[in-house]
Parts: sequence; structure tokens; C-alpha cells
Amino acid sequence: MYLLELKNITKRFPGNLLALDNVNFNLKPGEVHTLLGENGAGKTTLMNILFGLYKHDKGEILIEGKKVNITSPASAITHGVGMVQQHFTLVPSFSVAENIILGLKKTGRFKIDLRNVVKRIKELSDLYNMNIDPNAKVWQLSVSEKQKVEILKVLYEEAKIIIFDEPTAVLTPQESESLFQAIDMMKNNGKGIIFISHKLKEVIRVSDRVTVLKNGRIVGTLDKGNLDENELAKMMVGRDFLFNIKKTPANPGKEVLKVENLVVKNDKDILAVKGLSLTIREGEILGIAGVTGNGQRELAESIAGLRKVENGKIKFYNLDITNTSVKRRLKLGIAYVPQDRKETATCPNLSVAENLFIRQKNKVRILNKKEMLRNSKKLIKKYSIIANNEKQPIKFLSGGNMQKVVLAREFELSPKLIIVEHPTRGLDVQAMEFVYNSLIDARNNGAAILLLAGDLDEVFTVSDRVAIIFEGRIMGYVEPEQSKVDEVGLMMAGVALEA
Amino acid sequence: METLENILAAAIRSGTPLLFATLGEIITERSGILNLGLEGLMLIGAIFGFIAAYTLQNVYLAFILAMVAGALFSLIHAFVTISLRANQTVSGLALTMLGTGVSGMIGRNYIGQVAPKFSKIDLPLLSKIPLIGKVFFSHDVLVYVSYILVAVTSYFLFKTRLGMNLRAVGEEPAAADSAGINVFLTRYFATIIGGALTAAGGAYLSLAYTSMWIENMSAGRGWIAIALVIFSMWEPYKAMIGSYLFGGIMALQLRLQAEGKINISSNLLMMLPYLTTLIVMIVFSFNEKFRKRVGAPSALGIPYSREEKT
Repeated sequence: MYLLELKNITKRFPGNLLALDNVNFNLKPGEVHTLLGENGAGKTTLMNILFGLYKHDKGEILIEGKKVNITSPASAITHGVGMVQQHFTLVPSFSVAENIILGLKKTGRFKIDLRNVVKRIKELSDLYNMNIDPNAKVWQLSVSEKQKVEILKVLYEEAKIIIFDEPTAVLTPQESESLFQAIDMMKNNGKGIIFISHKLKEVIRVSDRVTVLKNGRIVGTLDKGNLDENELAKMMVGRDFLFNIKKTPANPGKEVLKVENLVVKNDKDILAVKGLSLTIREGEILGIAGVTGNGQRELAESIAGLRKVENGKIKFYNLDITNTSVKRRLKLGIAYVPQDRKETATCPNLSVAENLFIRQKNKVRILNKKEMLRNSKKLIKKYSIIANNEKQPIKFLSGGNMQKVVLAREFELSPKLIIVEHPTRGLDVQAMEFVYNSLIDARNNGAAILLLAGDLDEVFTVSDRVAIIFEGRIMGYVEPEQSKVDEVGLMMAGVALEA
Repeated sequence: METLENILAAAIRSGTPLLFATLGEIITERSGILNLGLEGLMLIGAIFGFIAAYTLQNVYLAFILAMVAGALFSLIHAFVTISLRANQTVSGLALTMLGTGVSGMIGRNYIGQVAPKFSKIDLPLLSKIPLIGKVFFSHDVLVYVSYILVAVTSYFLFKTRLGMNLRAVGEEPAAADSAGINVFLTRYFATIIGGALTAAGGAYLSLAYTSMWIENMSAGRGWIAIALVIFSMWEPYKAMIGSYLFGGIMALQLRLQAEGKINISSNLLMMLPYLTTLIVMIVFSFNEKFRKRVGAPSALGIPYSREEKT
């Protein structure tokens, strides 16, 4: 008998977007069943339905053969469904134990008694080799520790079905492996695991079965014996996975950016970049690889002029631009593609045209609307942006098209230096390919590019040189063509390698 | 000695309405809802309390009815900001306007009337302690209720499951939601309780502090309570200190005015509580480290919607 069956699940989002179309999925006890698919394929939507966060329009959910009606996370939990979310859902100011019992009824309805809770968490933590202090405050924990707290919470609830939503996105390769070992143990203890990912290697490592989802439909299911990277990639993308990227060897020229012993604080007023130095030359892409939250964002923002430099120097063609205004940097030819498309990069209610021209610093103070609209039309064509027209508010565009607007705006400044953060987050493969080729084109035209991305494949596909960042410092450099994953992984975890 | 005792006792009396309102707003804000309608809610509490006392000739019943009126009135804010997800600042300000208007309108016929009021009860033994007895234990019953309320609120917020859920909703509604806590219900609950307590503060003005209805009799106390929430770092015990401090300033200002001994413009004296409020706010917001550490609820003022999460 199946532990879980999802039958003919259909979900439409406002705007008549069909997110899931008659999806069937099942899970046996003691099995890892992976949902594989690109961003936007519907994996997370399906799991949010199972976890009671979204309501499905059609279809039914059966747990241990019985039809259930899951209306909220609370009812999901009572039915034995637990979810380790992609974005952690912990309260930072609460302790580990408080977070774990949050919302649970069985640990006392009125007064909170944490003693037994702490004991039980210690047991679970020891059982799965997690080494988590139940009394620590969550804001003090590292990202991988926070994930362990999420897992402990699910285990504490004694879930039979455990969903892992892209759990390795925030982990180093080593941390991922220890997560997989914990998953193997849970499996052996009879839990049913649903693993969500778009990374083929880890999917093959961890899964007993793999179901591929594409555009809200099931493409097919493969069993452990038949798992093959190329086959899965074809199913996932609908064509061969290899990007069509025209990359010629770099031909670096003069030094454009020189960062010397940079020290920058993060939003919490804690040092995030701790004495970092790097240089980028004309016609070169320097990729920064590392686990998110090791100072990448602060580095990018300080070079773009959005964050105060506490110490050290930023030089642009040997000109000191440390703590100068954003406007001055724009005039010098420094472009910036922020990671946060909706908040930092665009003004949601302004039109596509206005967003395209918001960074143009002409002498003329009065907007020439006609010219702006005419130029916008050209850019929309040139970058094949899909929008109703140039007057449409940008917030109605899809993530990929929004990103194209941002790239068009920045590239049209003919910048000498481009800082790019997570440029393909949430984009489909076609859009990713477009972004990669645009970056390489800009580099071929002599721009210096600083690329910060969480996805290792991305950094290694596009960059000419790769620097590994850990806790605000560069751990070392590798050549993208000849680097080994385990070496990079070690450096990402803070282990310096012998040169 | 005599005067010091009197001034301190007056500070407690004058601080009590502030304390009720501040405790209410602490509960509301801890759930992530900012209610700037305190001034209006206090007036609603004051007028409904007064009318009830005048008609029923029972102050206890009147006090309870005032709280019910406040709860119902704050339901407007809850509906607009939680269910409709409208801007909390705008809704709160509207609530203040509405409360001022409504109380003025229905209170027109009651101006100049006198209703029964809560009488002073000296607590046995406790009131005999020198200084402290006179200052803390020689008041009307509502003052004693407010003492208990501080302890109850603190216990509720930090020691009970419901209180923990409420704080989680104010910090990380998405986390609370996925932990199976009903974010909407929790916020409704907190807003309504907050409204009831604020109205209780208003009722104190017309049922204990005085025994009449005066238009706009809250006289800015609602705004001071909002500042006090920040001053107290969202903690009930500190709210007590803050309320008596500001109550003291208000009482002192009245006394100085009445005695006419010091030649300061009365307008200037009346500004004193607000000036202090401003200074407190400025000091708090200037010190960034401090502000981050005292930790306003992270989700304060942000509407929660499940499917709009990014």
C-alpha cells in the first residue's frame, strides 16, 4: 500500500495560470521519491498543496489509503506530513526548542514546559548526528544548522511523510552529503521522503524513484536502476541540457576594478566582508562562488555604492571611488544587476519604459517621453522582452522578462564594469542561456564583469576565473575548466588549500 | 514629604489610563498589527463607560461595557488591516478620527452630567506602609486591576503557548503559519484584546480619574501610549515604569499650572509630555544598535498573505 497518493491534482493561480495539470504522484514507506523539474515546473506548488499552504482546484490526496482533506499546515501535520522548507520558517528571536514546539499541541496546551522538549530534541539530534543545542537562539545559527532545526522539527512532530524542498540550495557539497546520510537514516527508519531538486547529481545520489515535472505536468518516472543524468536532463528540459554558449578564451586588458582589503558590515551591523582583495581586468569575467551569506551581497553592494565601506579601498581604473555616490559611479560606467529583482532592481509600479531609463543620467532634467517610449520599443525588441507594451507596469512581467529589462537597462549604459548578482535565479533555461550569452558578449566587448551566484554550475559556465568566498574573505582561485568539485567544496566550507 | 507622596500617588493615578492602553497596544503590536487608533479607542471607552455608568448607575458593569465597546470598535481596524490587508497606519489614523467624532457626537447630551465613579479603597495593611502605602495602595480598584494586568500580560506573552504563538505571528507570520498557527485569528484576537484594554484606559478617565464626560478628554494620551510601547520595548513591566513616568509628568504639569507658582507658559507645560515622547523616540531611533536589539516585532505593520509570499 502507498503511504501517500496524490491523484489528478490541478491548480490554477490568479490570472488563469495553470500551475499543475492533472498531476499524479505516490510514495511508499522507506523510500525517497524525488520530484525533479526546473524552476517554475510546479514542484513547490504541488508540495505546498500537500502541506496545506495552497488549495488545489481539483484532485484528491490519500494518506495510507484514506482520503484526507488538508486545509492548513496544522492539518497536514496531524496527518503526519512534515515539510523542510526552502526558505526557512523559523523565528530568529526564539530558541531552537521554542521553534520546534511552535504550533504543536502535544507539549502542553496552556503553559509551556521546555524541559522534556529539550531532552527529546537532544535525543533526536544525537540519533541523526546533528549536534544542535536546543537552547541556542536561532539567529545565532549558521544556515546549515537552521536547516537541521527544520529537520528536527519535522522529526519531533513524528511525521511519516517528510518533504525536502531544494534542501541543498544553501549547503556546501560536504554539508549536502551529511544531509543525504541523515535522509538515508530516516528512510531506513521507515519514513517516506519526498525530495525536491533540480540538481541531477544529487538526485541520483539520494533517490529510489524520480518523477520529472515540466510546466505543471508529469513527464515520467524512473526507478533507481535506470537513473541517468542525460536521460533525466532531457526529460526535465525537453531537449539536451547543454547550454548553447559561445565562449571564446578571454583576452584580458587593463585593470578595471581593484578592491583592496575591503571591510563592509551587513544589515545587522556585523562585519560581512573582512579584508577582501580582488582585481578584474577588461574583457574578463570573475566569478565568485560560495555559500549564500558569506559576504557576497555586501561585496556587490559596496562596489555598486549602496553600502558603506568601513575600511579598505575600491579603485576604478586606479581612481579611488570608495564611498562615492551611486550617481558618480554610474557616470564612470559601473553597472549593477542586483539579486533582488522586485525591490532593488526595479520599481514595480513604474512602466517598462520608465524602468529602462531610470538610471540614465542625462543633462536634460525634463523627460522626453516620446524619445523614451521610442527607445524602449527598440530595447524591448532587441532583448526580446515579452510585455504587452512599453507602458505596462513592470510588476506584471514574468521574472525572466523583468530580468531582461534590468539587463537591457544596465547593458545600454555601455558600462566598463558590470556587477551581476544571481542573474538567473528563477529563470527558465532559455532565459538563462540568454543571460549567459549577454554577459559573454559584454565581456567580449571589453567590459569587466563581477559575477556573484549561488549556483556553482553557473559560476563555472560563465566565468574566466573563479574566486571562492568564505566568511568575507577569498579562500582561493580556481580555473573553471580544470577544477574539482571537492576542492571547491572544501574552500566553500572554509578550508584553505595548499597552492 | 506630604507633597512628594501626593505627587507620586498622582503619578500612579494619571499613569493608569496610559498603562491600560500601553498594555493593550503591546499585545496588538506583538502580533504584528500596528494600531494608531488608540486615541479614538480611549474616547470610545470613556464615553461608553460614562453613558453606561450614568444609565445603569453601576461602575463595574460600565467598565466592562466600555471594554466591549472598545473591542467592537477595534474590530474595524482588525477587519480592514488583517482581512483586507489595507495599510495599518492609515486605518489606525482613521480609527482615531472616527473615535473622536463618534464620541463627540453621542456625548453631546452628557456634557456637564455627573455619573457614579470608582471610589478609593485603601488596601488593608499594605496602605499602612510609609510612603509606599500611600503611593501604591491607596487608590481605586482599577489601579489594582492594572497592577495585576501587568503580571498577567507578561505571563501570557512569555510563558503560555498562546502568548508564544502570538509573538511568533508578529515575528515571522510565515513561520507561524507553517507551524499550523492561525495567523489571521491570532491577529484578530490580539487587536480586539488590545482595543478592549485601550478602551479600559479611556473608561478610567471618565469613571475613576473624573466622573464626567468632557469632549476629547483623552487629550493625547493615546498618542503617548503609542510612544510608551516603544519606550517599554514591548515588555509589560517596563510599560508600567514608562506609564508612571509619563503620568508623573502629566500630573506635575497640572500641579504647576494650578499653583501658578512658576511663571511658565501653560502651553509650554502642556507640551511637556509630547516633547518627552519625541525625545524618547529620537533617542531610540538614533541608536541603531539599540533599536535592533530591543527588537520591535519583525513583522510589525506588514500585512500577511499566504499566496503572495516570495
